[in-house]
Amino acid sequence: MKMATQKKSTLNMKTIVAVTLIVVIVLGGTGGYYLWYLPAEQARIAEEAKRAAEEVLKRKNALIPHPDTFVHQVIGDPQFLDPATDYETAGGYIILNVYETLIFYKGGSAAKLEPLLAEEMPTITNNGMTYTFKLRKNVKFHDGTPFNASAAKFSIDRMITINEPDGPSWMYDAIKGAAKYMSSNMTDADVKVYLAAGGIEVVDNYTLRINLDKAYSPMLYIFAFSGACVVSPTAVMKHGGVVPGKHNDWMDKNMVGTGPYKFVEWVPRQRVVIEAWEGYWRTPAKIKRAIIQTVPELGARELALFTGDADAVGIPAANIWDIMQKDPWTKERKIALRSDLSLKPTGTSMTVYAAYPQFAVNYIGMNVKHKPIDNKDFRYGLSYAFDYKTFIDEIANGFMEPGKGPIPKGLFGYDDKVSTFSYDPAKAKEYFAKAKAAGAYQDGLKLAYYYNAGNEVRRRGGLLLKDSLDKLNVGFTIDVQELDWPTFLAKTRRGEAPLFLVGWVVDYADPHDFAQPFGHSSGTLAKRVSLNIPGLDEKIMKAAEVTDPAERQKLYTEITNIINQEAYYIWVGQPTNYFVLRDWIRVKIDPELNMPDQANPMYYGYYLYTMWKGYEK
Amino acid sequence: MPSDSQKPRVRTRREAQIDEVKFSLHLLRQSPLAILGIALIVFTVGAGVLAPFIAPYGPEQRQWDKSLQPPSQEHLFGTDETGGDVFSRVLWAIRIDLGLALLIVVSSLVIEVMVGSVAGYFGGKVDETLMRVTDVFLAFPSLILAMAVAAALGRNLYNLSLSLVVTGWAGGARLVRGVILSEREKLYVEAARAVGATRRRIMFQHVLPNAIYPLLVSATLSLGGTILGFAGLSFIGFGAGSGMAELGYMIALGRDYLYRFPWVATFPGLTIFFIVLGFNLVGDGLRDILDPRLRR
Repeated sequence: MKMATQKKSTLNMKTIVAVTLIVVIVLGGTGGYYLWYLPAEQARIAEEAKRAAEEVLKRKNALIPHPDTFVHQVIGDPQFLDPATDYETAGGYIILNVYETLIFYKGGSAAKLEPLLAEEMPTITNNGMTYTFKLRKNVKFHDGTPFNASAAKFSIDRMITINEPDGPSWMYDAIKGAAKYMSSNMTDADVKVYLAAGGIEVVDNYTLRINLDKAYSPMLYIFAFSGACVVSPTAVMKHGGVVPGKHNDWMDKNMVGTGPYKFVEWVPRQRVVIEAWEGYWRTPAKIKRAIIQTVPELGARELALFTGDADAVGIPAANIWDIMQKDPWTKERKIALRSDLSLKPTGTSMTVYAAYPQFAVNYIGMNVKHKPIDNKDFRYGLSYAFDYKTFIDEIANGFMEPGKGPIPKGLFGYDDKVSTFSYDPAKAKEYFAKAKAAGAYQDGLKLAYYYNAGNEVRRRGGLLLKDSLDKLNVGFTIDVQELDWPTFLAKTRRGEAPLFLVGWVVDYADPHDFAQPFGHSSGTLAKRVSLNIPGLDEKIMKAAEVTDPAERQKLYTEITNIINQEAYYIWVGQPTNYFVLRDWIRVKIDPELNMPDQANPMYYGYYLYTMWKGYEK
Repeated sequence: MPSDSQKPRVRTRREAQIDEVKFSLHLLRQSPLAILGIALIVFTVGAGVLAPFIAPYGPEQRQWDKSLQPPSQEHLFGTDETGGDVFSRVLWAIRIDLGLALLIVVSSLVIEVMVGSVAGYFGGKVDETLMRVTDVFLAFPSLILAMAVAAALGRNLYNLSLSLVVTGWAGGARLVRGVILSEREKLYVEAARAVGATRRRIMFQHVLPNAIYPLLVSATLSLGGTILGFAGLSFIGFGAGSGMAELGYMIALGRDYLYRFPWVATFPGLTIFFIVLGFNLVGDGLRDILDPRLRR
C-alpha cells in the first residue's frame, strides 16, 4: 500500500516536472511567437500590403489619361474674359483661375472671407466708410509686372471707368464718387472728377485705402467678387489703355493676372486653355494644364466623360440619371456606371459631389399687371396649387431644397421660420373660389406660362402646375409655352409674361443681393412682376446700412415675410450644387466644414487650385 | 323574236370600270410589298383612330412619380420623363401626325390641281405667270422655307401645317400641268371639243378624271414625306407645344435619354418609320398598278 503511494508520488513528481516543462516550453514558445515573431511578421505583411497597394495605385495612376491636364466640357462659351466687363458664369470660371481679388472666400465657406492678395483682412474705420488693405509683397503678374497698391487701384478704377452697363460695376457704386460718375456721360472730365473724389487711395506701395460715400454692409463681400480682380496695368497700357465707357478689346480676349493659372488661348466656341503658373506666390497648382471645351451637345459630353477624354462635364439636373443609378442618394456617393458603358480598362466610376446649397433661387413670377393676377386670392390659389414636393423629388431629381423666400438657405439673412406656402389643393380651391366670387375671372381662363427653351426643369414645372390646375377644375388653366432665351428675357423684362419660371444666382454673399432685386420697387426682378409694396423699399435700404447682425437678421426676416405674404413669387426651390468628376480627380476638403472647397456656392466653375489628379487620398 | 344573245355583246361603261378595278386588285395581289404597305397603314391608322378606346392613358396624363420606367405590362412602351405612358402617347400622337399630314396633303392637292390645271389648260401667258411663281417656290429649300413660315406665324401645330402646305404645292402643280398638257392634245379632247363641249366641261369631265391617277400616286408618296417633314420640324422645335403628344416632339425630348432610357425616343421613332414605310410602299405599288404603260 505504502509502496504504491510512493510510487505514485514519484510518478506524480515526474509528471509535475514534465507538465511544468511542457507548460514552460509552450508558454515560452507562444510568448515568443506573440512578442517577437508575430509583430515582425505582421509588419512584414503590412509592408507587403502597402507595397502592393502602392503598386496598384501606381498602375491605376498610370492608366489615367492625360495625367497633367484637366479637360472640362461645358455647355457655354465665355462672353468676355475681362473681369471688368464679364458678368456671367462661363467667363467667371476662367477669371476665378487666372485673376485674384484682394480678399476671397475661405475654403468651402461663403460666409467667411480670407485675405488673398491682401496680407490680412482690411481694417474698417470711419464708421464703416473706410477700408484699409495691407497688401502682399513679392507677388508678380504673369507678365512679370510686380503687384502693388497702384496696380490694385488701377484695376478697380478701370472697372468703374469702363462701367459696362451689363457688367458688374454697378455693385461698386458705393465707392466715393463712383455713383456720380456712373450716372454721368462718362467723359474724360467726369473721369477726372471721379479720380479727384479720392475713392481709392494709394497710401504707400503696399497699403490701399478705399473710401465709401456711405456705410454699406455688403461692401466686404463685393470686394471678393470678380469685378474687383487685379489686372496687370502694364498689359492694359500696352494694349489700348483705359477708355471711359468702352471695352478694351484686347483685355476681353486675353488675360494677365496674378492667379495660379496663366492664360494660353481662347478659341471662341471651342476652347479656353490655361496653364499652371510656376511663379505663383503660393505653391504652384498641381494640375499643370486645363482645357475648357465648349460642347453644346449633351450626348457628346457624356460620351467624353465615359471614355475619359474629359475629366468633368456639365450635366443638367434633369439628365443626372444618365450617370447615376436611379435610386435615393446621399450627400456624397461613388457611383459605378453600367458595365457596358466602360470603354476603357480604367473602368468608368466617377464621383458626384452633390447636395450643397447653391446661392440661387428658382421661382415662378406672377406679374400683377395681367388681369386676374392682381387679385391676391388668385395668387394665393396659385401658390397653394403648386406641388412643391413632386417638383423637387421628381422633376429636379432631388437636386433642390424647398424655397422659403427670396434669400437662399446658407446665406446670412435666411430664416427657416418664415411663413411659406405648401401644396394644398383644398386651400387652393378655396382661394380660387374666393377670387371667382369677387369677379376676378370667369371659367375658361387660360394664362400663358413661359420658360426658356431647353430648360427641362422649367418646362416640367409648368406641366406640373398645369396638371394640378386641371385636377382642381377651377375653370382656369395655363398654357405652357417655350421661348428662346433672349426673347424670354425681353418678354419678362417688358412685363409681358403673366407667369414664368426662372432663377436668380448670387453675385456677392450678402442678402442685399437678393432682397433688393426681389423686393425693392426698382429691383430688376420686382419690375418683372410689377411689385410695389408700400414701405418695403425703406426697410430694404435700411437693412443694407445696418451693421449689427442681429438687427439685420430681424429686418431680413421681416422683409421675407412681407414679400411672401403678398405672394408675387412662388418659391419653387433652391437648386443644390453638384459636380460630376471622374474618380481620379481629387478635391481639397475643407476640414472645418467637412465638404469640398469646390462646393463653395460663390465659385463659378472649378477652382482648379484646390484639385489634383491621381488616386492617392 | 330574235334573242338578245344574237346581238353583238357591248360592254357597258360600268362593266368596263368594274373590270378595271378587278384587274387592279388582281395586280395588287401580285405585289406583296404593296400588301405589306397596306397592312402597315391599316394597322397604324387603326391604332390612331381607335386610340380613345385602346389607349390606357390620356395623351397628357402624367404620373410624375413613375417617370422613365422601362416597358412593362402596365406600360407597354415604358414611361417618359414626365411619367407619361409612351404607348398611349404614341397612339394619340398618330392621330395628330397622320390627321394633320392628311390635311396638309389634301389642301396641297387642291392648290396643285387648281394651279396646275389652269396653267396647263389655258397655256400662254397664264401658264407662264403661274409657272414662274411656282419656280419661285421651288427655288427655296422647302424645309427651310417651311421653318421660316412657321417661325414667322408663331409656334403651333396649325401654323406648322400651313407652312407645309405653302411650301408643298409647287412640285405637285408642275406635275398636274404636265399631265394636263399631254392629255389636252389627245383625240378624246378634240372629239369633245368637236361636239361643242364647253371648256369647263372638257376640263372637269374629261381631262381631270384621266389625270387623276398620277396625282393619286404622287399624293400617296408625298404623304410619307409630309409626315417626315412635319415630325422633323416638330423635332427641331416648331409646332408641338410643351407636353403635347406628337411624334417628332416626343423623339426630341427622348433624345437626351438615349443612353439609359432608350424606349422614350425609340417607340415614337419606330412608329414614324412604319407609317412612312407603309405609305411609300403603297405609293410605289399604286404607281405600278395604275401606270397604263406598265399595265398591259
